[in-house]
Amino acid sequence: MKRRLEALALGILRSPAGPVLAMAGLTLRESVRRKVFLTIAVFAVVMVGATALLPAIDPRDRVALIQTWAQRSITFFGVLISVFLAGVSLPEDIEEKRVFMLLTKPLSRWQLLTGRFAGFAGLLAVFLAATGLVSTGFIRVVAARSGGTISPVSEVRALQTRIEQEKPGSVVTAESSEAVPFFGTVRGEGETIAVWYFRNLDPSDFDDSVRLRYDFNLTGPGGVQFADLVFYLRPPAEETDTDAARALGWKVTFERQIVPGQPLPGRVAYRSETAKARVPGEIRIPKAWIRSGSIDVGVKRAKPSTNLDVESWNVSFLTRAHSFEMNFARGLMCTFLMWIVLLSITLAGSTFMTAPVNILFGVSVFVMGNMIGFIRESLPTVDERIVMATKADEEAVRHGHSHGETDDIPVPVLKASLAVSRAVMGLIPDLNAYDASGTMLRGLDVPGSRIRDNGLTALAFAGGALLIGIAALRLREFR
Amino acid sequence: MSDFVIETQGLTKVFTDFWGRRKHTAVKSLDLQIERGEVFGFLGPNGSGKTTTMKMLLGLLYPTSGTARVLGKDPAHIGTKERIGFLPEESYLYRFLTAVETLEFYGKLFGIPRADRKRRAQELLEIVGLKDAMHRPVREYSKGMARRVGIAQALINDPEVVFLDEPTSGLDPLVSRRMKDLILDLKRQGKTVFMSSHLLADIEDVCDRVGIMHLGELRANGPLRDMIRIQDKTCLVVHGLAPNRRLEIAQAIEAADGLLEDITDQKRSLEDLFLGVIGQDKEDGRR
Repeated sequence: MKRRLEALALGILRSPAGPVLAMAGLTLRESVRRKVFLTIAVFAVVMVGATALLPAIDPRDRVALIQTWAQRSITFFGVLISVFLAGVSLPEDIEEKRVFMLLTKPLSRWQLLTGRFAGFAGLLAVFLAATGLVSTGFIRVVAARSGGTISPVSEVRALQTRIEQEKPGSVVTAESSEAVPFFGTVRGEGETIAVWYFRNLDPSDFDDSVRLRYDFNLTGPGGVQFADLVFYLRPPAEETDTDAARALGWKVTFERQIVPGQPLPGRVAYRSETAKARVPGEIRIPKAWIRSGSIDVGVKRAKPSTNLDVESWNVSFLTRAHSFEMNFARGLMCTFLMWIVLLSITLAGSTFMTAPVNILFGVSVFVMGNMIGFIRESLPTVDERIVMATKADEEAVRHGHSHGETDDIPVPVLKASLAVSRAVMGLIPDLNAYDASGTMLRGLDVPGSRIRDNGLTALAFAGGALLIGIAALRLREFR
Repeated sequence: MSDFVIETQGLTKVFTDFWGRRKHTAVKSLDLQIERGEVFGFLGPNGSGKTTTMKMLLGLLYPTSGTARVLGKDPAHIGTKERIGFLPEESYLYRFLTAVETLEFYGKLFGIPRADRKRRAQELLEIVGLKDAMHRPVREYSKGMARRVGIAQALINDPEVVFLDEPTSGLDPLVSRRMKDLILDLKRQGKTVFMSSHLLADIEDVCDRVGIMHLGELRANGPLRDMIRIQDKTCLVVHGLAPNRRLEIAQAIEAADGLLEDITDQKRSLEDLFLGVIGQDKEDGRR
């Protein structure tokens, strides 16, 4: 056995992975010797200790807040490692001419870069594991001491909630608000239905029969304790197994319109429930119905005598029971993937930039990567402006006016700036997409699909960045 | 296939500015052949193109034109690097590592098995006289000690060709002498040594052949003895000649149609004197 292990170790040492692992080991040792861990540990303790300064709020919210605080602190220190430590490692090797010693050994330039990458990725993984474990323990202690509970089940809430007319032309007696979070009331006579629009559900997060939780505030003359409600769902067209639905208490019918303006014929599932005011109830739906990740849940009153308050939290799906630790780990995994993206970009930059310039570059990528979502949202506005400006230009030509009569930016300039913006944005990763702290703060599940999606984009960005770095390093000469 | 261990043909390096405009021609059409087992001294003043040539032979710089082959392959080829050792002008080491960790790290890059790596590191540290300090971080080392770690790392893979850039620069005469002895030892082992130096005496002490670079061109190249020999002058070294017999020698030379330029006492080199004093102190038990 020992001989086999030795043969395996020798095989790895003499393979192309050998020098990569040697560089990775050097990077880890360098971080330990430079007391990076110690410094970060001190700061981490300070950050965690600072949670004592958080305002005294509801124990459950306090736990969620500490969880988010810990997650964001860990993210921050990981970004420091990715940008400030990784960003100077290769430029220092080059400026202090250690690269002469390295590249005259059997170490290819791609092995030098990927070795550094592997070393820092390992450092980040160790850092994540250590701080994640400490934070988890701390949160558990806080939860136990403050009486807060950590639910093993997460609620997934609707992306949007609305109150709709059931038939065009019917009288809407609901009062609703466009504000977020949504609040409305269905009252009096009328063909009105409240709809919760669920999107981006990850089927892997749910049991085979998905738990649908409801909790309504009922009002009416003389105080209302109970109300008969009818739930409507529209299963996917290809899902024809009505037996499974019937087994869960659903009746399946055809061509029932539940959302006005979307008169799609098809099957509609419905069932009646007697809801008790402010007492949560639970029904189940077949998992196949959420296979696409989207489903709309409509709720109608069976009798108009009861008023139904409608808020986004009234209806939610309950995930499969998971441990708090697992969800926290998933959130941190997203963070790790963000670090990997940032690390690969910083390392790629370090192949042709000096240390200070590269740090500035890394910080810029981080800032822009966090803003890119907002910038993307503004692009349709520019698109609209281009259309309007083009029309205005055509009008002006038709009426014999010149462009110079308006103060607007010329259309070609707008188009060019839009093209440049789109090209630049394609190169900058959306780092907000890797931040699961908001999801966790709301007590929601971080779906497995999110890790998969983040993993794929991180792989694409890291691979692309490292290839650019290797190409730059291969072209580089060392005087 | 060429028998030369190092061979260049028309090797040229032109440095350009950011825009690709020609700025400076560092090496002009260099043709050089070095045979196995030779100790080749590469001489020249600052800026003559020595280091640029060496960096092209090590794959750190790419030639603008011409070719360079080391052990029959491109210098940047991994197979070449496995068989060479390099000591740069200064030992550029990771200061957080100890001497033994430094050697182990470079040994790993060569894929040397763990047990062999440890043994080789110990041997080399013994040779360069750093065994007592091998567990101290390199940042605590003097320049001479760091230089010795540099020498040890250049030999960790038992190379066939060793490139030494200013190997005795910054070393005290004792360590310098040890370095020259090491070079001669490498020669005895059949290794090829390519060394550049400003210190002509060092080159003279160890090299078989020299090349002299000036303004990027190889101005002279050949066996050292032939190059420094003055064809029509003869030197007699006589031991135990009484001063009053010198005249007779002079007359005999004149009678043989020779022109006597000088009769003087032979002097030892300053290096020999220094090493003698230090050696005596060591024998007396002083440090």
